[in-house]
Amino acid sequence: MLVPHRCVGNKGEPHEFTFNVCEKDAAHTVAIVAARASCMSQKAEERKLVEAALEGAPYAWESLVRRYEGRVYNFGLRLTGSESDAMDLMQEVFIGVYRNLHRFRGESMFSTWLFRIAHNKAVDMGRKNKPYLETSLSSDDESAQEEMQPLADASTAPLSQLMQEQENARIQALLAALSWEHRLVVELKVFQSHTFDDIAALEGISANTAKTRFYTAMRALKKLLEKQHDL
Amino acid sequence: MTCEKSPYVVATLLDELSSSAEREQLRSHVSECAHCSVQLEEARVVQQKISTWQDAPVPHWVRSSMVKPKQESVQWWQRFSLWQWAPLACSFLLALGVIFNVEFHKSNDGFVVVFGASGGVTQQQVQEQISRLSAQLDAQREADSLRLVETVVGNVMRQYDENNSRNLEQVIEYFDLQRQQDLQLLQSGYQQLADSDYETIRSVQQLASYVQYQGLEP
Repeated sequence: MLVPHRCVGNKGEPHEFTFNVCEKDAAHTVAIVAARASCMSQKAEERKLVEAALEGAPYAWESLVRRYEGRVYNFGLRLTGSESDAMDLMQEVFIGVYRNLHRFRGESMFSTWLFRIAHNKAVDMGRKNKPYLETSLSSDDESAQEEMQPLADASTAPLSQLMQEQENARIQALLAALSWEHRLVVELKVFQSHTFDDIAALEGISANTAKTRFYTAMRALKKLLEKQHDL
Repeated sequence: MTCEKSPYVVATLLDELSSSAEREQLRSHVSECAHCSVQLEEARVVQQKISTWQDAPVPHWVRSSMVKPKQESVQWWQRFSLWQWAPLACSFLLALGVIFNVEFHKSNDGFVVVFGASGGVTQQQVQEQISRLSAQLDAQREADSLRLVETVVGNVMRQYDENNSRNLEQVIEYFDLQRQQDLQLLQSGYQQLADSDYETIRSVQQLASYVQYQGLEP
């Protein structure tokens, strides 16, 4: 079974850093130690990159962007359900990160700090584009679900890629059926591997509310999957 | 059949990062609660279904568009040169000098800077200075008088444009003529005065005779 591993910062706060290890593997402990070492070296490396980017070195900034652009883009893609909105969100996130780079003290992981900004930008976007993002599919509207699924370009993409794009589109459609709050909780829990305490802190709600939202979202997704005869 | 604990149980058990003690406690609840058991299994399946997401590649975009080369930081005091402040500093010092009535005195012992109005000058020094200035003024006035006489004589001599000896005679004649004219004017003035006095005496005599006449009447 794959479990996420969390790195602990200098001040004892948990830092989001996913490292997949096998729980039943005999080398589990070794893997955790290796993960922590990797986490620390990554932290130091990122700190150097941040300092270089602050000095105006384009290569350092580009290196930081390349590390996280995929995660941020896919974060946006799952939340907005649209490539253009995901691109807009990603660019806004990195502009925000660059503007606030001098405020990054290195006390937490760069990724934690970056995704806090990404979350805030996503929430802002959710507020601005409420009508669009809230066009979540009702459980009865299957035709709408079909419309939400983007069509892959079958002429150029290989079969596996095509299948993966279709799978992603199906997940996008499922997530789009959820309300914005539920979608955000699922994103933070399932895809970003945050704890419920982290989610509660980010959303400004209690941990129990976060758990209730997550449970409600799971129930809604289950119903949607049943309608698609996928469950 | 429902269980009010289901949201908490399902969410906590799906969270691999929750504490093992709590998970163990909830597992025992799930083993006894059929609803929670079903809910947990269904949620687990849903989570697996959506976890099949594969990150899509990021479309091309310009990553360094927001990077600006760092400008050399210049401290605030480096933006101003010393010479820029020199006039202001001089003006300030002068203003201080005026406000506090600063005086510099040079003596045999060196310089003395004095703040205040009196400036350390004694009354005797002031009197000496006044006397000295007064003497200078008298000498200046005397010199001016001499220079005036010389100027007048020179002017007169130039007016006649003759040689020196003749000029002198003419000057004497001129002064003599002037003296005579002055005497004539003086005489005529005295005569007028005497005439006016005579008129006055006559008026007084008439007044006296009138008074006398009035006094003799009973």
